[in-house]
Amino acid sequence: MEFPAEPYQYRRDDPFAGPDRPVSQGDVFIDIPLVGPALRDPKQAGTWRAPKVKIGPKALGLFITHPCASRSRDTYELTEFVSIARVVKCPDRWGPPWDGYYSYVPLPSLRDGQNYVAKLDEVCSVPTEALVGQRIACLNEHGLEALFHRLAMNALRFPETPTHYKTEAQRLTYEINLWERWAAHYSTEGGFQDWLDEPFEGQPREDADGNVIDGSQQPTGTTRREVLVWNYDELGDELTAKLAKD
Amino acid sequence: MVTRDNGHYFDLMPSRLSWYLLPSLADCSLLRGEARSTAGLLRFTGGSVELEEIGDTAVLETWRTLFENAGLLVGIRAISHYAQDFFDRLGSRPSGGAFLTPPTASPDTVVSPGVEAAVVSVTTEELQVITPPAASATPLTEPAAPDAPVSEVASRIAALSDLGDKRLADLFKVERETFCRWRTGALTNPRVGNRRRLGLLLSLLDELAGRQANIKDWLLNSVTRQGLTPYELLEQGRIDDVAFLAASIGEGVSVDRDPRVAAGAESETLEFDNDDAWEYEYEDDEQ
Repeated sequence: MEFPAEPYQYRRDDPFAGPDRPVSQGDVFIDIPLVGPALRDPKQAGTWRAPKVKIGPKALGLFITHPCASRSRDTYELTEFVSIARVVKCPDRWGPPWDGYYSYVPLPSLRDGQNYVAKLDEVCSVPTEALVGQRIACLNEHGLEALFHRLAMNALRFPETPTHYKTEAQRLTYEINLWERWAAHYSTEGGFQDWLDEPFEGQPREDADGNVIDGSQQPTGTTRREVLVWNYDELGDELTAKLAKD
Repeated sequence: MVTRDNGHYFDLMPSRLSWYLLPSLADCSLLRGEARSTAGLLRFTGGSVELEEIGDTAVLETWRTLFENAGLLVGIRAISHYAQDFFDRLGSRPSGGAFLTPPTASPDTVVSPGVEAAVVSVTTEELQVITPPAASATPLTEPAAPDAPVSEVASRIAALSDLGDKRLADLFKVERETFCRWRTGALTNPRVGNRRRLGLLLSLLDELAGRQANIKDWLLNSVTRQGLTPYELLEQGRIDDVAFLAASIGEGVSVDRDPRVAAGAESETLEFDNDDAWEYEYEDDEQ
């Protein structure tokens, strides 16, 4: 699939991008502790040496774990450690349309107008507390869809781009969009997921001229979470109404 | 007859509908009453005519047979549900030109439904005169452009799904007429949510088509683990569940693969800048 020219929802050269947005898959961080691969010590047989922890303005990383795997199922708080793919400047020889090299995720014009890549073959575990205040970019739904494709190609050489990537990227983006509004209003991420699990009030019907018929929505027995992709706009209206009340 | 601004649509007065519907050439007829109740919109696309009202598959096939026997009009894709009443009254579906009768009356003769066939008289030349330039709609085998007009998106949804306007309208919580107007271009500005949903549904149907699924049958008849059909899931707004299910349908057409991947030939190694290097410390370095 084609890699989007503008894959970012937020992007800044320096932290902090999207201060109210919950941390999620596709976020890029700077100045975070990255751990590299151990090598045999050439001077001490049978001994392995880890490199120095990389930190500072050259220590960039892309959050690659799906939220379902990086947040508690009970509290929805981030797990203690998350998987981060190291991000480095893109070699000059590679650029749009970003063909091949499936172990790299292009991050065009990520910082100071320069292209970067996330290296899916260099993933390390990073404490979530180190991510606080360090985000410089969040992928939008198109960027996420492209990330899913890269992850599948790198891990499985799975060549299809099923609709699932698109709907999952939308679902994730929409959820975080609403969550961000919640966090901005209440100054906490807490409570949003419970609201998302409440019953959806229903999509209002329209008359033959396309006008919404007030009060015509009927619950279908689904939760807001189940209709997040299809009824994102109506959920946004429900959230607006709730925030206006509280 | 009124010609729309874009030149691709013709509103036909009901009394004139049958006049343009079939070539005369001595062997075509249509009940005047049916013509009146059939939708007032025809779309002319090159050498074909599409009746801009949706019907079910059986009716569609009936009309296709009829028109193919007429030898001129092809590509009939959607017709009025009234047509089913017409064929029901006659008791059987036409086949092999069973309904084709020689001209016996003038085109303006009004005949009560179910009583007699009224003669339709229009020549090939006349049809050519009213045929506009070929429409520029994207073929179903190619994805619609991201900025495709609502009429194209809705038409593709109807064509790919083979579902009637009513069923499709119910998914969007709009009236059947509204979906019909989206499809025909009479309404071009659905609410933002429905414009987005049209794109979502089309993406799903495009994938199903790519998997060579019998889309209508799959949507209406396959039963999921939840005990619902995919169509019922869509009615509930659970399109991501349906997208999951769609991914489990057979491979369908072959998938484009990066030839380098297919051949197992990796690309040339990329050389990274010095920010790529890791710094190792060994015993001697530390002393």
